[in-house]
Amino acid sequence: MAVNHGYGKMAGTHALVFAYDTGDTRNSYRGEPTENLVNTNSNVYTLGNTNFPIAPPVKEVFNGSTQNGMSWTDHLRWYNETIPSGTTITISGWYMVYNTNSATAWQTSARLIIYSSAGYGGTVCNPGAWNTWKYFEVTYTVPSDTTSFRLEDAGYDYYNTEDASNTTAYGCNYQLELKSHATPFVEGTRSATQGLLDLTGNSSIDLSNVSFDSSSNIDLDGTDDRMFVGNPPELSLHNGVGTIEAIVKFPRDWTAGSQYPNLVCKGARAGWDTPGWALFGFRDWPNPNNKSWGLGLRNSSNGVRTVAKYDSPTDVYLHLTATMNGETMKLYENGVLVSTQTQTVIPAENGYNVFIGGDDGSNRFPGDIPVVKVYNESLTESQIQSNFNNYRKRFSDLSNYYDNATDGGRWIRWWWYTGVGWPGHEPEALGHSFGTFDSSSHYGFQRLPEGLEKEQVELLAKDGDGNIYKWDFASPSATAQQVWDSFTTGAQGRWNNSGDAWNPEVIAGSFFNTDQDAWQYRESEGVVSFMLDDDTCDCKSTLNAGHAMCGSSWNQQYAQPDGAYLRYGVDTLNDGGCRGPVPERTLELYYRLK
Amino acid sequence: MERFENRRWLVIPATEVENVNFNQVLEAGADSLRYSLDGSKTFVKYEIRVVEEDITETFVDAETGEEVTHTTLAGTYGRPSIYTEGMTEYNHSEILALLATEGWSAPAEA
Repeated sequence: MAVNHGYGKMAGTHALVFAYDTGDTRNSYRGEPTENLVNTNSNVYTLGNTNFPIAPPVKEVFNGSTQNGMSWTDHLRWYNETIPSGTTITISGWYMVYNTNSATAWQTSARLIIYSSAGYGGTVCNPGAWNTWKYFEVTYTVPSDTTSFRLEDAGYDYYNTEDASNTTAYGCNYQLELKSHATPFVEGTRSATQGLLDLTGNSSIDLSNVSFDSSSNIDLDGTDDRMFVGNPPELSLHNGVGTIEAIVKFPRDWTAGSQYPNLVCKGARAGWDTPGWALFGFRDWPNPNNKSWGLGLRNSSNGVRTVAKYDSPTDVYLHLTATMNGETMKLYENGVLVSTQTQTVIPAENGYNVFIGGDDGSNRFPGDIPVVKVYNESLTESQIQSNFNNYRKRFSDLSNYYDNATDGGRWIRWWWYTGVGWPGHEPEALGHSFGTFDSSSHYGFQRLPEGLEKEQVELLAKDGDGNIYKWDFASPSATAQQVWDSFTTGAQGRWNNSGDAWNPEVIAGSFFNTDQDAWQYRESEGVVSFMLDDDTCDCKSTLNAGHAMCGSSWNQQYAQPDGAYLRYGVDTLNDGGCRGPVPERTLELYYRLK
Repeated sequence: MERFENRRWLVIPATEVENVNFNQVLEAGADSLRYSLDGSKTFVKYEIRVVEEDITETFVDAETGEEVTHTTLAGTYGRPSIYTEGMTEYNHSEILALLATEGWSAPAEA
């Protein structure tokens, strides 16, 4: 089966019978179904002009507009049937103010403004910079019946532009929708079956009953949302051989609504209550507060076989794979085999439709399922691990290592050193982006994932002595900010913030209770090393990895035991004395979102 | 921030479905509604926008050059026409709690 895919080679694609990926916006996720009301009944100034001095950052250009001299003229005038009072609309598109002589144009002042026959709609776009395309989006609740809208340059700003004769405004890909948010541009209509495409081409995915967030991403709310895939024969799996793979996020706050929804299924209501098969995801099962998942099979004689993984992490993406080969059912979570069961039944051939995010009954799942794949053969462990690794950089949550027990769980390991010996070819303790290392590596010298918000992140550290400390990056301390900068971007430096401490909370073990108000991440004897302590000289340190450091150099007196020169490793968290890093110790760093 | 912070659900008698304007709710049509187990009730959902206090803005009309004053009155916008004062409107956690009850969810073997 030829499969277009935006994320590189995947294992087992020859056996793929169904697949979608909402992150693959070229081949699979085209966007929320919508109707773009900017159509041939609209008037776009200089309709079809695509002769832009700078190409807009869009795949294709529609309804290009241009206006010389920044005078009052519409870019877009829309007039069609009346939009009734109270209707929410969203207008979006791209806009640029181009000036050929920016040396004399002292202000980027053009604005795109919406006017309607019902009143003023607000500033749509203020480009902020010459010669740069800017995406705009405005949502507007129509205060009274409205028969027309227009988008135009704001004339009063014209007076601030001293160089109007050299100034031109451009726009394109205008979209007007009866929605509270914009969706990806479409010329005309994107129907319920055109929003999400099956990468194999076997099936049609109907999004009529699916919720979307304000960014137009699929967001199942658990009330009546589910994707409808119909009854394609390729998905029957009634010979008892197949693989169901999905990326899933179980919400931590999922405490009500359906308790036994399916994630992907054909029949097998509530996991296994009717004939068929299901990759299910349950809440409060088998124990309160558990989020569990598994594979359920039911044959035509009402024989049932299930395999389950209990108490999975919440609020993080998980790579879930269930396989069956006619003899054995297996579950893999993040590429790791987590449960096995002998397969005594095969799913009955049935007339149920395939659903994602719910079943044919009343059960609905309130989480995120950005990827689903179904294969007509049982993937091997190495194939599953290969696919898992393929997704790790895209979904930064994915990790073989997470801690779901300490202090409420949900911790994701992002940096580790296992005491095997410092790798001589690694010159920086934070030298790699998140996702570079997998569980087979004895070290993971990574930075925190990109895109995290400092105020939302907590840090957990575990050493080999049983000490477990927790820090909160939301602290206003300058020390916290410097650690954050190093951990996220690799920023180097040495800072002594006397009195501005960032102290840990002790989860296990003990702490010497000296303010941690100094941070450095800098080169020391060939390795860029980090240390959180009280004065930048290694006594009374907590986080410490690489080579010993003291001031701008290092000092054997403050790097016990003796012989610290060119010895690289980590220190214990509870270093109330003057110990330096040594190769045989261990340290793990985790993070979680609040 | 709670997921679906601005989304609201309205439980209605099944007999009222014919009066729902599906351009005003997130469900696509009558066929896509979820009903209570006895078929007597269903629900629709929509996004609301709450304006806490009146917002008055004055601008120059582009074509006439005259000042135009526009006031958005305080209130809740986005409710469908089938909504009337006094009806119970559910937020996300409230509707999930309702849907977990016997009237909406069949007992499972699990």
